[in-house]
Amino acid sequence: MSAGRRGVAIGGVIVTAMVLLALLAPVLTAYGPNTVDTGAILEPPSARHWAGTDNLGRDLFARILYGGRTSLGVAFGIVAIGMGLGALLGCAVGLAGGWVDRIAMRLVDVALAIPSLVIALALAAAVGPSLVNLVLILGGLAVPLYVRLFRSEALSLRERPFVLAARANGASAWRLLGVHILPNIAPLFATLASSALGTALVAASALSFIGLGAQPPMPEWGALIFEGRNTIMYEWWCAVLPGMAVALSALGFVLLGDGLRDVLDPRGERT
Amino acid sequence: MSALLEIAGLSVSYGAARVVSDVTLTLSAGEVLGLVGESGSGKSTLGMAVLGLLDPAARVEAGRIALDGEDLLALPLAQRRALCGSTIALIPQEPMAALNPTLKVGRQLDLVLRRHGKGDARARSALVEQALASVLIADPPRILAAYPFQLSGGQLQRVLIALAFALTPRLVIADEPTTALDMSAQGAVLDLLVSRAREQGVGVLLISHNLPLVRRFADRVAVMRRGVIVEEGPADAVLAAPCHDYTRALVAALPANAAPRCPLPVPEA
Amino acid sequence: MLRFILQRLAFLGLVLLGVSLVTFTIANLAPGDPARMMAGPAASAEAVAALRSELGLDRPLWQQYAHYLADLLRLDLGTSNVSGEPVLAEILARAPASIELMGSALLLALMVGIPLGIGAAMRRGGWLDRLVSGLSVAGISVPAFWLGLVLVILLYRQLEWLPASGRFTGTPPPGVTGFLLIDAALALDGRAVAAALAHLALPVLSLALLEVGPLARLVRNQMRAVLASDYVRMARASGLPERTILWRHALRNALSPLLTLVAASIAMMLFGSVSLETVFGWPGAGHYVVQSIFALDFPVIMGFAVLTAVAYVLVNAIADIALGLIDPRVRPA
Repeated sequence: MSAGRRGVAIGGVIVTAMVLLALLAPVLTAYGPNTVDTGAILEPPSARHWAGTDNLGRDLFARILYGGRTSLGVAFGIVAIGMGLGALLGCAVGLAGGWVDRIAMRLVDVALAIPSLVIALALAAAVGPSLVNLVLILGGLAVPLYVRLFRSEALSLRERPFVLAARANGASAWRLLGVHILPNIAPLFATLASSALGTALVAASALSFIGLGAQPPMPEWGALIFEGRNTIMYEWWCAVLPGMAVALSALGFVLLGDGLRDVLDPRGERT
Repeated sequence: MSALLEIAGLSVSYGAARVVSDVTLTLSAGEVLGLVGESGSGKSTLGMAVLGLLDPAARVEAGRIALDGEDLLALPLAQRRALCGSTIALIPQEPMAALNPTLKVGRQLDLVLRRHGKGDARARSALVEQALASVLIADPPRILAAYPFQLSGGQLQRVLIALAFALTPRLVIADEPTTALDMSAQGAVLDLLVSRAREQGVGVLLISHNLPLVRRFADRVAVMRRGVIVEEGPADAVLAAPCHDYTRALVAALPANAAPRCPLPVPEA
Repeated sequence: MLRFILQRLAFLGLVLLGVSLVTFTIANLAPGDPARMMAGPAASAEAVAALRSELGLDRPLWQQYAHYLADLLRLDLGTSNVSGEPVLAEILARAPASIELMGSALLLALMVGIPLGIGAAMRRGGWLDRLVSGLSVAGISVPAFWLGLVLVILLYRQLEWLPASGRFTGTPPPGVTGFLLIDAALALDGRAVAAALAHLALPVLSLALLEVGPLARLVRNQMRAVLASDYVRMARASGLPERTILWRHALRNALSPLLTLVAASIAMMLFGSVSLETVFGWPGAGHYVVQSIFALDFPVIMGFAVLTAVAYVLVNAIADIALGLIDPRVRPA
């Protein structure tokens, strides 16, 4: 099996597993994510509590599973906004050409020169920390990069014979976009999306860790690590296990993305 | 005239695919041997095998490559590499790609000359100027101070020919030297190459798929098809009146030879 | 050449303008009335109004922006709500600690990553190659702050090898550069050097471990492309020995994008170090801004954003120009 296919396989399995675990949380654990049990504070992993309990006696495994819904959901939201808007704008700009293209690219260049995570930090602090804000901020900040990537793609597609033929036949801009361009950028989209999900997940957990994302008691992997950080000396599971979830999921996404790229575009012509 | 280069029963493969099959060729000093065939026939691989610069994925399965009687394949790597440039020179297909894009042309030439012990800085500089003049380059200092992307393919190819001959090799492997050049430059560059070679008694292996050029400049020609030599002989004779079907087809496919208003025949590869 | 530099400088100006616009917009998004917040809940309506006009908050937005820009150009980033001190001074006081952390991590990552990448390029499919691939994937997937916690557990709690918090123990050396390690070395204080190194070890290791992979991978990919290129083959055909080819031809071309990546790494580390400093109680600017977030000290948060954005943009501009010096193809003809 080639390296690319292997990546897709392993990454795909990991991602599917994590998503399933998150979705099937109610089935997989009897505990609720916020059920406090003062009689079982900071217990190590055992048969009763597979991942132990935290400082309020809540079952950590349940919190990690339900937290997966939050974290993965946030990551998907960020990528949906960032890549969705970015791809749309990028293709539109690339097809339009002319001064629209020039001005847009200038703006993109300036935007990409500014470190986005630092801006995210300031924005999140200013508008007030919340999950929704996190998704909007990180998603919005990701748009310029994808505008540029998809504009290049649209530019190269624009010159392809089948597109020229469609235009010669009088296809409208919408038809061009929907029927000809979008289906052809699907492979690029899939590849980029996978890797983007990985980085979005890590970035979101980092912002939550410093208090700018999910607010307690909402279980979100980054927030869980934050909650666990003071007890790492003796109750390591509180911080380590949620972090493993982040690392593993991100790993899955990145492997999947790299694998897809190797399979769909081995000579690196498009990415 | 003893043979300068003798290839006997050479076979080269890339993994499972046999790219050069049992090839036997000889080349004498001062002679131009044309090696023609379509893309993928194995001609470039043959040239690289003689130089000892095959792709890491390629392997010599069998045969002998002798230069002045000495089997190159039996030599240790270091000695083989020492022959590069000084004894066997390469004129590459893409002159633009053959030079480091971030170094000035003069610097790159100087590096090579220094390696081959061509004297101190002053002597090397004189040698370079002389070499460039011999390939009819009008303004050597400008060429030397330029980066490769600032010069044309034809100019770069002349520079590379000048460099090759400045090292006084015995054998020159010209791997499709005119393919990347435009029509006007092709004839001039080959003319230069062949006349210098003849002057200095250097053997030339001219690898090309351009039949008219080979016919014009080569003494003998060998036709290669799928790794096998199918025909060999004096260039004029072989290309004017081919014996083998494949050669006949190749010649017939030339536009000049086509019957008027008939589609060009496509040789079976 | 000159035109190239001027072009880059013009772009730099544009970006800095962009940074000021963005931060101004963010500052205005903060909920609440700044005048009220500063005056306090007990102040009368007139006092708040007076404060508001004093702060220029009743003027049109573009005037406020002009005022803001003028302040920035005078390096006035406002005063901290918590300490009352100028923001710039507060951040700069803590900057050396952060720079020491990030700089050491970058250095370590480069020292390990570059040879790793070159070695990986020489033998495709070899163990170095696979190591580089693995490390680079890990570098993007593993959160820096989590790795820091794990290292603390492993190397501090379990093995008690290295300290887990703070920057120093004992009396610090006289502050010459602000970089404890250098200051300790300058003072020829072996014990201080050891203490500084020990405290640096875990946080630097966390950052560096994550940076090595992507750096090595870039070096490897570039090296591979260069070694397979036509001009390397031509150089071999001209008789140049491998060593000359490596040093004169290959490295130069392979490493030029490194400059760009180093600049990009700094961005990654900027953010990673914010969370890492929190984990280790490292008294740097990152830790300070996190504390300010919890204290709702907005001037500090905004000042931090402006400062780091400007620093990052400047570093990139320098790297860009340096790249133009090395690689002539980048400049306009």
